Amino acid sequence: MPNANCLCRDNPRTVSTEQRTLVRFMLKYTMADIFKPEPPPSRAEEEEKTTRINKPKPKKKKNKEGKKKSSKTPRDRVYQIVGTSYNPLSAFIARPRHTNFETQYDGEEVILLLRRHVITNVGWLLMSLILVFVPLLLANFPLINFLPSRFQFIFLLMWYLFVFAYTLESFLSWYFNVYIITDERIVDVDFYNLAYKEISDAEIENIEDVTLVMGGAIQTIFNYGNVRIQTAGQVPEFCFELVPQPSKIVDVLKQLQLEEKQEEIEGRVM
Amino acid sequence: MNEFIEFVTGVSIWQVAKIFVLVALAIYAIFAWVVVRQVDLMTRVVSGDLDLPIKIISWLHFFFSIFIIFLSFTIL
Repeated sequence: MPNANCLCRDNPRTVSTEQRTLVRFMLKYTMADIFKPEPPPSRAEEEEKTTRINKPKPKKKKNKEGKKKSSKTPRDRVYQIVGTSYNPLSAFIARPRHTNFETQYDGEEVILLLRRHVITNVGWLLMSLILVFVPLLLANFPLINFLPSRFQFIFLLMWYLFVFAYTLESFLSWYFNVYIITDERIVDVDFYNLAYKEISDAEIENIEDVTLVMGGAIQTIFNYGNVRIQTAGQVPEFCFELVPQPSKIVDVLKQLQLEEKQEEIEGRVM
Repeated sequence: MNEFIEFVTGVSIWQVAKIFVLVALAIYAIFAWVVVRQVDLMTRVVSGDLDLPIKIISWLHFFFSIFIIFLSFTIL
């Protein structure tokens, strides 16, 4: 605020009454102006304000979308690599909806469920087919004709029961020996025989080295092979044997490792 | 003693064969039961979409093995 004494040119210390009133008026006017309450906004103004707040600017929206496209998280890349599959008899099931395993944590997501490639089942399928037709061969080479017909009938039933058991066991062995990749771990489920099972797992962050082994014409044609995973955990090496699309599996593991590293940097803990 | 010899000589070879067949089928039924238990265990370890059909197949296998025991007991 300017000093009122300075307003007089001749003598800075003497101030005329006119000057004083002028200064007072100016001060009064400015103070009133400053503390003057704002008039309430009209309806039209309010509506405009709200629409301005609710309606995002088109330019900014475009920028946000652009940013999303460019900044993909490792998890997004994992989903992109694996895609989706709904066939429960597949050897490469991506993000299965209804698949759970015994040692699964709460909220742990199964990203890949792997089995041996379907082509590896050709051996036992062919064997089963041959065994089905063996009784027809025996009709041409009568080995059990000396038996009464009722015994022959029971032996025939027993034979097909045996063939069925062989096929069922082979199928169960293929279907339930699985390798699971979750967002936190890799899990190897093995059923060696009727009474022996082995479930081993390792954290993604403990994975040290991943090796892809593909060899031979059949593996190259059908795109399957072994993925060896060396870990710093209790089980030093995991081997995903004869799994389809091994290069994709390696990519997925790399992206998951990247995600774990990011989480570690950000200080997130499961 | 004579009764025993008469009993042994009176038993036909097919009756002995029937006993062997029944024993073999009984062992097989035990195996089929083990398969049912194994499937139950496997589906508990890894559960998926095909749990129910696989369980049904394993039970059908078991019941069929029991059925064959009764059938062979009847017709042999």
